[in-house]
Amino acid sequence: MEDREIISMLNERDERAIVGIQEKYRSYCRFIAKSILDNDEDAEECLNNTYLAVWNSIPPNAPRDLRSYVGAVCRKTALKQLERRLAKKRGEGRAIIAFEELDGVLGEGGDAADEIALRDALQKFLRSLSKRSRIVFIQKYWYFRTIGEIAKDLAMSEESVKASLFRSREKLKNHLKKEGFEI
Amino acid sequence: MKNSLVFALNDVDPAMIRSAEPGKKRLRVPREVKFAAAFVLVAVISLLAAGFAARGAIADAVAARVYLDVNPSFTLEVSDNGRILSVAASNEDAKNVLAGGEDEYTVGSLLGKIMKNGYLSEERDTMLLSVECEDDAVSRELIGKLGDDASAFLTENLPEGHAITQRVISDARVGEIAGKYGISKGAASFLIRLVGLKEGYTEDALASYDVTTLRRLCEENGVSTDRRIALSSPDAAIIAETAMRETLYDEPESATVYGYAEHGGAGVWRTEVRGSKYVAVYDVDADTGEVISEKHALCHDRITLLDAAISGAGYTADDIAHYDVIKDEKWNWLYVTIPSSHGEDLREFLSRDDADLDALLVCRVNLHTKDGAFLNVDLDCSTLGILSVKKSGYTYSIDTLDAVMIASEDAGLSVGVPDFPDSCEMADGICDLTFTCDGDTYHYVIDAFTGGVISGEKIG
Repeated sequence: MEDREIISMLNERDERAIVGIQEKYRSYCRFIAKSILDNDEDAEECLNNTYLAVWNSIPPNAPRDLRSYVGAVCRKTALKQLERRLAKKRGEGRAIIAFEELDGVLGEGGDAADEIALRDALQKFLRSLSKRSRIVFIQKYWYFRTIGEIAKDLAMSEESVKASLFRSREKLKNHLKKEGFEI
Repeated sequence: MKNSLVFALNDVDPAMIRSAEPGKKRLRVPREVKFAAAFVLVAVISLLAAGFAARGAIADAVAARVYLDVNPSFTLEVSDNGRILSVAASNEDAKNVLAGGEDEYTVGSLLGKIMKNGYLSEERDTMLLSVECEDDAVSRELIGKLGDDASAFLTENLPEGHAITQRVISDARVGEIAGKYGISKGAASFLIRLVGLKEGYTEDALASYDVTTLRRLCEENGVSTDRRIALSSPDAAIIAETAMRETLYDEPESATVYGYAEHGGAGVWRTEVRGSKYVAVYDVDADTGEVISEKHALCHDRITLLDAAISGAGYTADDIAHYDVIKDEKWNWLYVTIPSSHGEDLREFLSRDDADLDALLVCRVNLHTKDGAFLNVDLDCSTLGILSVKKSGYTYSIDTLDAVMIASEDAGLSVGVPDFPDSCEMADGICDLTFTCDGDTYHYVIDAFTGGVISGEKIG
């Protein structure tokens, strides 16, 4: 099923759209959810929640790139689920490590305007990275891949991946400082 | 803003996320493999070169796909020096032409066969040659060479004939039209010039015409046919971004090529560029790369617009609900649409020839306040003046997804939730929810502000 057919079905409230999304993006979403939640059962629950969230958000949203949109919804849903699990102190995982690493970059507090500025600053920062460093950074903090997995995927040594991430985090810290964020 | 960075990453350019997708095929290969591959390659090349040298010839590689349309349509594979490596018939007429034909063709010999079969005549006197190739320089070279070959044939055999050459537009719409109507991408690229120019000039109607008819329609409507689309659309985006830097002194943040269009007597790539201060639309000549026209509007950055909207609506930043991504995220909790102007889509508005960008460019900011109000604030993007503030209702701290999660947790359902809610109504601060899980149906009433369960039961 083409993406535009799926979106048009969603607009018409036709539940076959969900079947289409499942067929096309189930494995992609499962990959994202599993990376964050580290647990089959939770990942499955996350998938159901993702389909529901997509169903509820289109319309009014009208994404141009459905794959990216569904992926972003899934990631957000998984993070939300992880947050609930953390509140109940149910274990740790690779996403938590990523949280902690990036936590070190920013201070507490902030309001809506800060959030928007942060997104913009992050976008600029990613553009300023070399292609290789950007892929490493996104694989680590968007897809929550382990160092070993990234190294294998990009045919790099684990040390190079670590060094790249360290440099990127330092660069991000400086970039955010320059943009007026409290570090 | 704890963990904000992890969440803020969700909103970065999807293209960047896709390009970093794990497992995606990339050109990078391990050094050992590179060396091994290089060694094997050198060995193979040496052997092949020796073999071919012995036979006195080295085979050409395919550099481009070329579509030749008269009415018979052919797809040619061509080397970078213009040699035709293969010819395939794309329709029944073309099969007739090729039946019992030779192994090797030139543009001249192919046109000769087409003419001999009666498809090229004084009545049907036009041929269209379309080059599809990613390399700009090779495209230009081939368009020139093959076009010259075709012109030479026509001069000799059909002096009043027309040879039209073009580069196939790398645009999704072209592929769509070609697939839908079973025509070549070359013909699809060509007919796009005429779509919408007059009433009845629809893709449906134009796709049924042969190239001669399309050429005549172009002439009747003042649409040039000798255009060569030599520039690729990504190059047009770079040119438009450069134009923004040089003329508006603004740093481009994104560039989107809308598509190919006929404008100002030229074929153009119409490109929107958004900078930190301006939003602009450039028409970049698809052949020469020259910027033919430019329209822009001043548009303050998002933070400034947001501040203006909040104060213009009579609030302070403190009145706006705190944005805690972890505890209170919502897709449209707060967003700035830049710009929704005159109720039209920005793209349509800016693409109109009479679009007056000195006129109002409106930005709508939706605010959710701490007391639950939901406001639409419209402001002038340029002056930051408030145009209207509408209170369109209240927003709740939970959405359908939250409601199902709260209810399922309350009902002790840990895994597999939810099925789609059978119904979920939010009204008067109450969320009335009915959903099914593992064959059991539940009915819940939840406080839409606090998320507290007011009542809940299994009803079947």
